[in-house]
Amino acid sequence: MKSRYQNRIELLQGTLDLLILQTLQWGSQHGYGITQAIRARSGEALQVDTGSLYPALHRLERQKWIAAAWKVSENKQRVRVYRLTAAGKKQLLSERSRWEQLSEAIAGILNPAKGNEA
Amino acid sequence: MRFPFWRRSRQEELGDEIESHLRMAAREREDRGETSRQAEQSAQREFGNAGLVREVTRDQWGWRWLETLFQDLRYSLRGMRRAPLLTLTVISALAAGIGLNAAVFAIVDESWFQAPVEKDPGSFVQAIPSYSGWFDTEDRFRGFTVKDFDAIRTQAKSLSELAGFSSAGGVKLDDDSTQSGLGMVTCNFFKAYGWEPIAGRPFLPQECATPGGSPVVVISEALWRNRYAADPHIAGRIVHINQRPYTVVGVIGGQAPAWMNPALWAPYTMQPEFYRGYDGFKHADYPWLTAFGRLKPGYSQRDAQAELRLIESQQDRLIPGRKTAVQVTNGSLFQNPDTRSFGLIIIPLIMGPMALILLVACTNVTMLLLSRAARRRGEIAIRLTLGAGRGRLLRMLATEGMVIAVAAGAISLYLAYKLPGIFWIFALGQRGYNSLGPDWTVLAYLAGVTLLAGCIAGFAPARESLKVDLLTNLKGREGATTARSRTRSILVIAQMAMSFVLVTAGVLFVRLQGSITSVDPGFETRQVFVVPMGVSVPPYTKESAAAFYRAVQQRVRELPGVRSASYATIVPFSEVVADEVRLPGEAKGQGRKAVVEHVSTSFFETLGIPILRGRAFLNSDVTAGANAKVAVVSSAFATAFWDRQNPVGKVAVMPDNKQVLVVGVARDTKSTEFDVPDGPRIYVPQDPQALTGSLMVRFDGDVRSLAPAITKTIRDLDATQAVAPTTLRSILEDRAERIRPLTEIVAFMALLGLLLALSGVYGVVAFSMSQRTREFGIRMVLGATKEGILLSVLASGLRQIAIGLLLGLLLALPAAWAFRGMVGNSSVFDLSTYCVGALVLAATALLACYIPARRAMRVDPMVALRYE
Repeated sequence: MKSRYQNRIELLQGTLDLLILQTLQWGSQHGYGITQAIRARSGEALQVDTGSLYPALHRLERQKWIAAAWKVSENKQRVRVYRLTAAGKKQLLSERSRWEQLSEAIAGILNPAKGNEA
Repeated sequence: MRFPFWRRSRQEELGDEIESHLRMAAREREDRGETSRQAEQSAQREFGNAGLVREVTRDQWGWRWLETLFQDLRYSLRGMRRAPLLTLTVISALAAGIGLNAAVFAIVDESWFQAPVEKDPGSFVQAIPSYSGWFDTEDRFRGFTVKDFDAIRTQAKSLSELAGFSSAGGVKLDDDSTQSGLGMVTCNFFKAYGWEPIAGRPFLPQECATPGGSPVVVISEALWRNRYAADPHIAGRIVHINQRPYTVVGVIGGQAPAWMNPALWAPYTMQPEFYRGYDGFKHADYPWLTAFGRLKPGYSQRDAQAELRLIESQQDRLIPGRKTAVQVTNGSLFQNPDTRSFGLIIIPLIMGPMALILLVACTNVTMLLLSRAARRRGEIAIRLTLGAGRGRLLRMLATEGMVIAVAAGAISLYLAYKLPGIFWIFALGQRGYNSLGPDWTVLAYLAGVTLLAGCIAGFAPARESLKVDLLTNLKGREGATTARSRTRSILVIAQMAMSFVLVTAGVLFVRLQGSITSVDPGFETRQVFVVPMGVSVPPYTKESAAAFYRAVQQRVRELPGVRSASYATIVPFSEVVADEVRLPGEAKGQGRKAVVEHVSTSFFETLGIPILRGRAFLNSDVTAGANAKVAVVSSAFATAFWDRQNPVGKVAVMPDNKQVLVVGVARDTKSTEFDVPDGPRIYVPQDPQALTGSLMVRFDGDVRSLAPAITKTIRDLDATQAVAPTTLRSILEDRAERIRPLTEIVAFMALLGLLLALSGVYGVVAFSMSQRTREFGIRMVLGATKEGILLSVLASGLRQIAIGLLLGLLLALPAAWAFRGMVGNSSVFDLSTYCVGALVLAATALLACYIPARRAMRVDPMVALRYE
């Protein structure tokens, strides 16, 4: 059971971190808010698994890329709100460029193949 | 989790965080029109297993291993608290094993491996030369000549202090009837060893300036306390050593190594006084000084060795043919080439049994834990079904063994601190020189042994716990296969084997101790005095010395109660050196080894050695002159030289090339090696002009009345003689007494081994009986008799015991073989020792099987079947 979750974290690790950091770039947010934001921004395509989200949040926090604080939400609820730190902003930039390189590379591989088929 | 402290609140925070997530999700769903119940449920469904999310998230915090460690610790502590008796037994068994080990290791370490000083041991060195091409026998001398010593002292730049020591043996202090040890030392000796005077002062440099110039002594603390009642004004007192006046200048503290152990210290320049006229300062070729020193800061032993070798190679030019190799050591016995070979035998012989005791204790603990492990299978099965990883469980169970070992290690630390002092006093009757307690080496050893014990004791039970068949164990029933564990029978066998070695060693030592005084050496021991004598030339002349010896023999013979008195060159029960004796016509080198003993004509009568063939010596043998030399040979000699022929009338060639005619054959004696017939021995009449030999006196009646009479007779002739007549019997008793502490220690270890084996076997059998109650019930219902079952249980126990004993024999034989090399080929090494050991152990072990088996049989079969 446990190992299944861990595998999924590892599979998503790079992208999930990127998505979390990007989401927090737009503004501080709590865990639930992050899942909702990612879902909304991806047009409901990306569903973030909570079993991956919280470990990722706590890992990023340990790496000091994000910081957390308890706040009271508009609904008068105590929520743990995460924000991006300076180190996190740098990390976001480097992850973004890495992602762009990766997607370009993948696109480069996929597109000629498409061309041949056509 | 109480540690780290923030852990608890962080856990709560995580809980709160997840809680708020769920609430928000539910609220949104409610907003979309779901009922609150539905919303809550679907929010939870969407979230997934909250506990697992928590767990995985916690993994991200780090410190996870510490957390599980604390979980495991808490678990094992709880388990230990639940079975306090078992825990107590297990810990004390291990503590005894580890503590004894560490204590004995501390003693071995201190007496064999450490430098023999307390103050700054790192800089202490000993310089040991070995010579070739100088004396006939190579490597015999380990000392320096005064010239070599001076050369090193003045030239060596690596040494800040160079001190010399030589033993003068026993000297006569005032009018004492026993002798006191005297050490001759350079005047910086105490400084080099780091000893401080307790009263008075140490030697001054000028007291070592001129040979024979300073008759002063420093006395040891023990002598000062015992003989002079710790007199604070001892300095300045005049004492007589060998009848010559010396001034006591001080009392020195510090513990001399056991091999030196003098009561008195004199400047080494007094050497000519003690070596009976042989002057170490005039004879340049006499290597008599043992050298110790201190390294200068910045120099290593290696530097000192290189430098000393260079100095000695220059010194070698003064003595043609000599080549010297110097070795610089830390002064320990183990680094000394003379004692190392002995150490290589004795240290394994000491540490081997200690290791065995520890192993037996470990197997005991293993067995106790195993029985609990088996009982815990139900719990383990539940944990496994709930998804616990086997590796995680193994770690949890192994932690338990470790906790027990660490607890035992802590207790044994105390033992390691206390026991060596007790052992020292017990074994040697003196304080060890390092009473400061265990050093880092010992602590490291203790820690290593503890960890090892923890691994050994904890691993097998942990593995056994995990060997579960989920279905049977959840049902709470033991399968037949699990009740008879293979691990357990292997452990019983191993324990039997190891205990056998210990018990056999115990039997061996007890027999050895007893047989020293009970063995018949082949001559009279109770009614024979030995009177060691020595004369110096000068003050004696050759003639006056011979006259003195004759007069002593004459007067002692006339004492009432004395039957006969004879001189002999060899005192029974002392070491002998064999020479080469040949048959006529044989060249040098072709002969055989035989001990040559020069004796008075009445020797055989005095010692009561029967003559088997021919005759003993006659007075006419001595007066007849050099042309008619005769000899009496021992049976062993006759067999070695002439096989079964009659030796009387045969001729032998002595080492000095003179021929002797054999006139008689004497019975073999057992006088050198204990309980072993002596090798070939040839007796020749002593030259009346000879100046050596001890006086043997055969007497009737009481020992106590005659000894003072003999002393007085000899003192009347020469008041300087230190006469202390002892019977041969008391020499033997002394010897038996000397190994008594060792015997007691070995016997104690054997007893410990036996007890551990007993409790181990008892525990295993008792447990397996309790597990098999149901099986016995079925068997009885099917018609088996109680006796039949009891016998089958005992038989299987006996099988394990027998296998264990056989394996133990394989272990014991090489150990006994090594030990035999030290004490001689005595009859105590025969089969009966092993048999006694095996019988004792087997009987004990069978008893340990019988009691629980018997109890198991008392159970009513119907009750047994309903059991569970």
